[in-house]
Amino acid sequence: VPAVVPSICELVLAELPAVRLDREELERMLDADEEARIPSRKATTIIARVCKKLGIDPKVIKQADLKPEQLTSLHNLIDLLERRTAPLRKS
Amino acid sequence: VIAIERRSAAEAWVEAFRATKDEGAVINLITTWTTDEEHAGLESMLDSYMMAKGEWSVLTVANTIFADELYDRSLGSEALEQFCEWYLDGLAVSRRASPGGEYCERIVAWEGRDGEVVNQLLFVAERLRRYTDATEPHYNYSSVYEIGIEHPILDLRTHMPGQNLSLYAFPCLSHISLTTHGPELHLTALYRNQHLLAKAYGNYLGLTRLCSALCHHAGLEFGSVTVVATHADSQFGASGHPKGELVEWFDTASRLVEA
Repeated sequence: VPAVVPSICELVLAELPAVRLDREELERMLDADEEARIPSRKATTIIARVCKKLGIDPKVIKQADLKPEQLTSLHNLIDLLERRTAPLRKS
Repeated sequence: VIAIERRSAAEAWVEAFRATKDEGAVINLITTWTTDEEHAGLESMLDSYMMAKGEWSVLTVANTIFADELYDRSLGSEALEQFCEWYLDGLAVSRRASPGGEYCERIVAWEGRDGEVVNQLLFVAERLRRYTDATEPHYNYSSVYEIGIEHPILDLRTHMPGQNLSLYAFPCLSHISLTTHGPELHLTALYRNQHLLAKAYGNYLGLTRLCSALCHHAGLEFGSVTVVATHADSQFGASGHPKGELVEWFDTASRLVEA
């Protein structure tokens, strides 16, 4: 039986309480496709912690990825992590 | 020398720009403000103007000194330590945006002797708490709270051929000095160079937030923030900032702040 690998979305949501963001509220906004904003520096902390859990070097994130509008949207942040870590997660 | 003292960082910035814009560059621009009040209107106007030119937002600049969003006042005396933990966890990512380093990294993770990491922020914060600790009445030092930014070896470019050769590179902020005076905390920052349009207000906010967090941590009152820019570049009429465009923009910004 293959191990259940949590999705990037689940990993990101799991980090929200640790940086004192309201997971329930942000998750509800995500489900409703509403604009869920997070502070950019908390976003970098979340990215680093998710990469660590995946065993992936955070250097997969490029300089161009770190525009505030990219980081502060929870949708964009999850999408960014999906795209950048996908090749490494599959290997 | 131009010396300006105002109530808020926004008022100080407006006066600093007004006083320097026709000079181009000024030697020793000294600005002081005495409250931690912020002006969202000025921040918004600077963001609109600067970001349209591909420059950083005010918040991005401020966050390079002290990312206030990571300082959770509800955590009380633990807030500063939590700030450092969150900041350092995210550093591997945020460093991608500033490969040359950023001020906060030097403040909380200064590379000391033999690679030892020195957290200057927690070190100074602990001393400030002792200053306000009623059980330590003899710990009443006024001037033992220094935070170094400029690295005397790595950044001394003319003495280290082959290292850090870009003369315009990081860091522009050289040193932060904190002084207690009675129940107040005063912060002074020395810049070797400061761009008035692109960076100064963001610098002012970051320093104000740093001072405010240390006051909260140690139970001190906000005294003042002073910035000494030994070389201040107004950027008025510089490439990308035509005077005609700026005159109108600054007129609106100054009226907004001084209303």
